[in-house]
Amino acid sequence: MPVRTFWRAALCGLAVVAFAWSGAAARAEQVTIKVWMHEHPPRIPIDRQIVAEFEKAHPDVKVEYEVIGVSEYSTKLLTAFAAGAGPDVFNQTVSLVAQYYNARILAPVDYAALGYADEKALTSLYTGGFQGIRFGGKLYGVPTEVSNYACYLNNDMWKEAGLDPAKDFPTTWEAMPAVAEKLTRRDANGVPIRRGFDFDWPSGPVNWLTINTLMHQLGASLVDESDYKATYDGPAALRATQFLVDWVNKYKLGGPQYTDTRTDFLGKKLATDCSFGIWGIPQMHDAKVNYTVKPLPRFADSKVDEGYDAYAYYMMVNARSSPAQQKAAWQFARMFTDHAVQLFKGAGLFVPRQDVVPLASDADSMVFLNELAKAKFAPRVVGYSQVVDVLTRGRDRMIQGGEPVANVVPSVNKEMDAVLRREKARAEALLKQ
Amino acid sequence: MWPELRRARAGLVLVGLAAAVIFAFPIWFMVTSAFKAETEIQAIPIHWWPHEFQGLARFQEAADFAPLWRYLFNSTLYSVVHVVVTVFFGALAGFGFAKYRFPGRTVLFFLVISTLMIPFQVLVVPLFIEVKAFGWENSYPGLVIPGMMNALGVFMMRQYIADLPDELLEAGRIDGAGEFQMFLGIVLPLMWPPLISLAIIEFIASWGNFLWPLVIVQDRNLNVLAVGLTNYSQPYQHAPMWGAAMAASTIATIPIAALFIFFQRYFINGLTAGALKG
Amino acid sequence: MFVAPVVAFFAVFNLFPVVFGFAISLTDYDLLDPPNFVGLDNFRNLLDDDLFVTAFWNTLVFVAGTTFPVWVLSLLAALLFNQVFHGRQVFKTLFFLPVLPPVVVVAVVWRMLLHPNGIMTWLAGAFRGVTEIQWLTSTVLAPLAMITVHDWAVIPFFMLIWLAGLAGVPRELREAAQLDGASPLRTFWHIDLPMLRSTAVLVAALSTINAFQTFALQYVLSTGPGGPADSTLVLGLLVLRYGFQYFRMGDASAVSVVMFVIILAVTAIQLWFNRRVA
Repeated sequence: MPVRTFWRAALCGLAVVAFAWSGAAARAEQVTIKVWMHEHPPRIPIDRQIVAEFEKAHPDVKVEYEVIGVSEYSTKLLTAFAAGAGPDVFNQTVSLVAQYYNARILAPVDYAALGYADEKALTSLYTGGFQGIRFGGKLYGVPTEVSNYACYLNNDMWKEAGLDPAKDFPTTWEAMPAVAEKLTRRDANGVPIRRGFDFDWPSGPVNWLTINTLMHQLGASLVDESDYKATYDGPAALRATQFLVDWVNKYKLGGPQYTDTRTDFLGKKLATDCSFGIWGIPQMHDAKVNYTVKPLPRFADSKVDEGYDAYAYYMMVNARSSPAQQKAAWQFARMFTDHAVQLFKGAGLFVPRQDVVPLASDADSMVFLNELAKAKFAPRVVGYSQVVDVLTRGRDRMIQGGEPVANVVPSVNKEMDAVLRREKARAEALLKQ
Repeated sequence: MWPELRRARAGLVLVGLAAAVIFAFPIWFMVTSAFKAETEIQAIPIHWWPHEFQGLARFQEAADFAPLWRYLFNSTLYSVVHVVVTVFFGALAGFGFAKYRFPGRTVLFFLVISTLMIPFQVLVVPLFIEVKAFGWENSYPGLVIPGMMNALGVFMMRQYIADLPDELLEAGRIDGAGEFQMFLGIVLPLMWPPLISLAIIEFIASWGNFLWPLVIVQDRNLNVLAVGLTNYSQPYQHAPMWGAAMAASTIATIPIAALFIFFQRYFINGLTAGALKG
Repeated sequence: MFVAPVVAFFAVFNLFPVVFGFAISLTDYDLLDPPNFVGLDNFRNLLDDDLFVTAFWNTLVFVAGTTFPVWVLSLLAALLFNQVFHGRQVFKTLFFLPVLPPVVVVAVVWRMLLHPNGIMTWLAGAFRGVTEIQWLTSTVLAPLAMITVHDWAVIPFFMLIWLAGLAGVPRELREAAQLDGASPLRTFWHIDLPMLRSTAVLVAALSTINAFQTFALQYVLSTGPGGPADSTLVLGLLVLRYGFQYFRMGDASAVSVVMFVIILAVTAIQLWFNRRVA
């Protein structure tokens, strides 16, 4: 009896030790990282291939990869971070990184894990694109896409209207309404059944880019990122806004009632569209659009020679993940960015890297690259989605509600300022905690 | 009685016809458009019926663009759980409140009934945080459990069960039936008509539920039909797919229409009872 | 105890969240960082918050624009279908159809019908040569469109309630009055209406509470949602925007507390009226 008890105890003890040991070993060896990416269909097969390669190169790391639709991506990321269930490595657009930085979600770049000696070794591979992810002198991610919009012209529709897409595209906004009118087809009541050129109205973020770009051209901008102050005031703001209001209400060339700008262009219901990036080229081929690419018009007296604001996607690492996960996450980011050439060729995602730039040397791509070199980045502020909504609401009050520009612009500026001030105060309160 | 009565009756037919046409037209348009070619739907002048009948092509298109059948499954699961739980536990608690005396009965009943007055918008934020704390966000338990019981069930069933004569239960007790057996064996079988009405109202309510499924679930495979439907009318970077939208809308309407056709009396009773008593 | 599971459920998923919601409304909370107690600041800020003032005003307009027309039109419909005439049953069933689809389906179908160059423009403008009407993209028409679609969807339901009330009026009373030579209008005024008082209060209260909570219709039907220029932003939508778009949980809860208080007030008024009527 005592012997059996002894053996039992010993066996149990052994089992416990073995279990604990195997557990410890497993913990030391096995790391699981969650990778979240926004939905961009042509990129997904490349993602999967990279995940497979990564797991092969790092047998101790298991990757849980998830793709999330763009419209729900930012909400889902925030909710997941809030629940402590956020991804270990994820990508997101420049407009939203300030919010993550302020909530201390972002880990600074770990150069050792990423496999570069220091910051310079990393950035010297690129010709730009890092300014959107630098906070307080430190980098918090690596760019996976840097993009800007330019204008696509449907050659057939231009020729039909008796215009030469190569020569007749206006270089100034002042000349734009007349050209757009020639390209527009109207029914008996004057309602456009085919638009010549129109802005991309329905998306708040694109509206923000458009107004900010027009203001940049006039030497001003929407917000002061460093001071957290709204600067949607002064003659530049009024003039840029008046132009957009006139576009709809005076020239009647389009407006926010058209909700499908890009699809209308691909569907040949719109002759000119300036809301595609370099990634639009494969879509033009798919839709069999015979196209020309042109830089965005400027104002006749533009102080700054600049097209659309640039925006970027960055790959970032969750500061709340375990050190082992963070290390694996940066290793994954390295493997991902090493596929930059394939990502450009296969998914149209451009990054200004030494190895990618030479691939974009055709005339169309060069238009984007030349514009990109001149472009400022879209501003990064906490409370971005609120400010975007304030701006869109103000635009609709003028365009669809008929309120005068001179009244609405100052009130929008005040509202934007209130949002920014509240967000800044909150960010500062958090830093004190 | 009055000479003008005959003329008035003819007038009534016209007014009735006009009212019926105005109110039925959008539904007619929805169902017919689910079988039209995409270009026909917004055609002017209107196509009153499909000129190029598409069969089930629009339904197929809807299922190809988004996981339509998955939405349908989720909606069914969601609604069936809500109906079963509301009906069974509503009857159980209604029985308890109607036929037993215990301390705090009035207070507890009042508390349960008072939940009928809470607009869901008041609950959505705290409930979201609570469910997140349970670790249920973006999952079936989080989707289904928080709203699965409707206090209306307790209220309705208490009214009906209170009308049952106590002698019936006494007889059961004398026969040696347990209290729960009595509930199953005596009370429930007598309650079929109100139970069916209750099941129908609860089904309509949960089938159309939108706010909670919208916020608690981020994975498109967990979406219910009501939420998934918006994918077709406002697809991301894609022109609206009206044919697919109408096909999916028709699918979302069929279960309720079927209840209306097969259980018309209970359907009408349920709706009026729900309103009168809630 | 039969009531225990039900009471526990409502305590966890209804009563606790209400209390918890009040607590959140006193904080600044973005889900990411721990909540920060701010006292009544959120409520004070609402007073000069443009979004809240806009949403409050829009909600009042929506309630005003739905309650009264719904009350009158659903009563007229009930009186119509309470008469005897050819085709009554068929017309009544057709008239009743809008009750069947869930709100989201209603919104999706109307979004299609109200396309600026769509079917409704054709029906409304064909005679005057108008080919484009900004139903949903004009700050004037969009709120009206919300009201009209809501009325269309709920009138048949309230007709049902009125019909149930009318069925409660003893036939003999009406026939006696008619034998005395009273006209139908007088019969209605002196016989039916006094007996329909509690139904009248019920319809008014239910439609008001319903309208105050409106949200899904605006969410799907309006551009934006809530647009253009927030002209269709209602309180229910604002809770969602603050809570799940801006992650300002404190402000979202404060708005929902205000909604709760309003709905409690409407319910209290209804009860007070009912007592006076009875």
